[in-house]
Amino acid sequence: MKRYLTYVTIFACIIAVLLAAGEAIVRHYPNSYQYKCEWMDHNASQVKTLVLGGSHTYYGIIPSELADSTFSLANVTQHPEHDYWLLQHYIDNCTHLNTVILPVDETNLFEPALADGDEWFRCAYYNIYMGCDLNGSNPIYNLEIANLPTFNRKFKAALDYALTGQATLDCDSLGFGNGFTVKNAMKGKSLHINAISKAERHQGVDSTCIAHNELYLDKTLALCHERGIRVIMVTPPMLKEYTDKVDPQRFVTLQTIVKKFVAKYGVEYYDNLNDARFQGVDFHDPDHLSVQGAHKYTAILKDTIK
Amino acid sequence: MSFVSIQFLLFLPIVFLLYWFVVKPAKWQNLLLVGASYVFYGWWDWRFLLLMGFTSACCYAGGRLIEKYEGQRSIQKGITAANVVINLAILGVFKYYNFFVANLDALLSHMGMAVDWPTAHIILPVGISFYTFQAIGYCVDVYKKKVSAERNVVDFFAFISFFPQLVAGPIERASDMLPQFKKKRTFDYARAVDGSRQMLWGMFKKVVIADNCAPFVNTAWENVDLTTPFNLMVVTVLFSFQVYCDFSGYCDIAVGCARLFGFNLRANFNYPYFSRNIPEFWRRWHITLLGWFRDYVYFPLGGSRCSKLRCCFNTIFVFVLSGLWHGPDWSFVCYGCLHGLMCSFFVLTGIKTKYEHNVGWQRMLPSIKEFLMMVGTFALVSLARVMFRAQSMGEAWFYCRRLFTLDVFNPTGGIMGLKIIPWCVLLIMVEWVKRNNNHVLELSGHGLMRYQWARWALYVALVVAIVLCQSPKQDFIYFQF
Repeated sequence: MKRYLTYVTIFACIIAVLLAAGEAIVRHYPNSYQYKCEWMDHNASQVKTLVLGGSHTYYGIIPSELADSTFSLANVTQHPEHDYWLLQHYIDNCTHLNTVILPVDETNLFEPALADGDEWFRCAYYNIYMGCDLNGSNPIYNLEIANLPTFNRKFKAALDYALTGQATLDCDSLGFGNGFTVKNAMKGKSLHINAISKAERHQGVDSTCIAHNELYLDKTLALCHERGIRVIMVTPPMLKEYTDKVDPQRFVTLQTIVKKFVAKYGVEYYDNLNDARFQGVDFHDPDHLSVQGAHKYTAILKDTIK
Repeated sequence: MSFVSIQFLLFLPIVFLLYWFVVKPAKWQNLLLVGASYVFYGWWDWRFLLLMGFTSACCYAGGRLIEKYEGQRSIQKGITAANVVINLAILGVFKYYNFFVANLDALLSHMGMAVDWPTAHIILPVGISFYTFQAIGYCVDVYKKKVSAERNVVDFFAFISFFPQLVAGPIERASDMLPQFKKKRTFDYARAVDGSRQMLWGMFKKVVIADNCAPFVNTAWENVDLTTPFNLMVVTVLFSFQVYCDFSGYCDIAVGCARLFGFNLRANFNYPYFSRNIPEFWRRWHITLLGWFRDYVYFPLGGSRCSKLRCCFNTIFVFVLSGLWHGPDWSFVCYGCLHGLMCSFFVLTGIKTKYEHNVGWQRMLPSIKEFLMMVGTFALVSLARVMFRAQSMGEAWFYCRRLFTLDVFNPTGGIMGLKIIPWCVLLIMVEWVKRNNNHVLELSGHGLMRYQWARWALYVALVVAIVLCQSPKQDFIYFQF
């Protein structure tokens, strides 16, 4: 028994050392979280318009085309809790900030907090690269390796980076997400099938999730209100085939909440959810705009908020 | 709790250390195993525990009653029948209720007697088919006096719920397992090392091959109309690898894990893709399920000691049941029926299906005849699996219509799964070399593997592959059965 346990322990140590090396390699690979954090650390004072939110604004609003000195702090699956944390973290340095674009859609309103959802591993990216402490010291929220499938993908990219020096940052210099393609969005499925399967997942209204997300949206709006920052709430376009199949109660609840915020803080709200100007080619998948769609949406938004 | 999870990575060492260091007497070890197994199973849903507890209690009481009425065969028969009926009724309600209601409804509607039968939203308890069959087997064995009724309730509950093989087999026999729970267990270094290696190999097959085949297979099945016939053929083959690596990977982990606790489980696989015909395939694939059907259904029906036609009927009947065992759908019934027909062909023609030795015995490579037989068997098995993978007969039919076209050998339009195909080839090569061993990592101490550094390098390489080849987690396919 002693021999067996000794060998198992030695083996476990070897594996632990290799995993630690892998973690270090992956952390050295450039990523959008680290880039946005560093950019804001150096340039926050220049920002006049800040885009927050999840993938819908990350891939849907192009800062360079929206307004002068716009930067996008949006990121994939970014929830209101993280939006609030980021705004609070940088707001003192954003001396010229006058506008915040804040999305409100069925992702950031109806999904559970990041730590409790399918993309829980992204908590680690905020913790490691942005110094966010929302999820404390729990190792699974502080290690890249806690989620092996994404670690594996990033490790391969990091090795490529070490060999070729070329990295895919996933965002442009102003934080617009440009790493989304039809290939990785659709995973080989048709837009129609994707719309059905995605809509099937987006059913029902979980009041706990709504209460949590509403609370942080409210905190964000209150903070902006306190600082005299104009807030523009937006609901980006989605494929009609998809929105038709999502639980309609979700959109009713969304509108109710938005109306409450508009009344409370006097914020502006622009709803492009079922905007007929957006067709299939404007989408990478049922709820994400393609680059072409992002150009179109940014132009519409620019005209609207002028 | 899945074998491929962080929870299990913590659970196993804790149970292992408690088992060997804290609770040394066998009776306490068995109690620990029952507790650990219930935690393991309850991790999915604690309500499932009630069902498993009920099944265990019924069979335990049934066994004791059969023993009590020794000499009164009719009462014993009644108790056995009642136990079998209760177990099958539980299985029927949780697994087949909606299927039978829907079909009865359709039949009555067809006859002009529309009845609106209520369907129920029932969650299928994980592994119910496995432990139910194990429990039924015990009752029948007690009745047939193959095994004496278990008096110790802890040992019996441990036998039904033993966590390594609880959710997806191997389906064990009381005559093999119960004596092992009685024995004083001493830690055997060689057995533990061999068990650990087998677990590692099982993990490799599951994570590196099965889980990486899954995205291609799922994508193609979700988009049959958009996938080229050539790629459908590729996917048909990939699914064979996926289901094999998934299930045999699970069984390797189960058998290896049991060895860590001093138990020997039955082998469920014996390199099935090196079979030279369909009957041989079924002697190498899911051995414990087919063994169960053979002993408790096929032999009582007369087995092969009857006319050829009757033997064919018995064979087809057993395969239909085994198909239905997989799930409540006509596609599974057809899957079983198809295999039954293929096996019946060998019964009718009298073609030899049993061989004294493994394929390519004492040779590096198989003969051309053997090779063609293996490829033919693999092709038939893979094609039949279209029905296994399809959600309905309509879907299977649509898939086959797309597959069987002249374009099936035309690779223009790209080849799916290029990333995983080398791993599949590697698996076949390694398994071919090790086909006479119990499992691939049963290292003989010859050649390079006699050096400890080489063995360790191999283990580390396998772990690295497991870490770096992780794709989004897939449940074990056989959990749904």
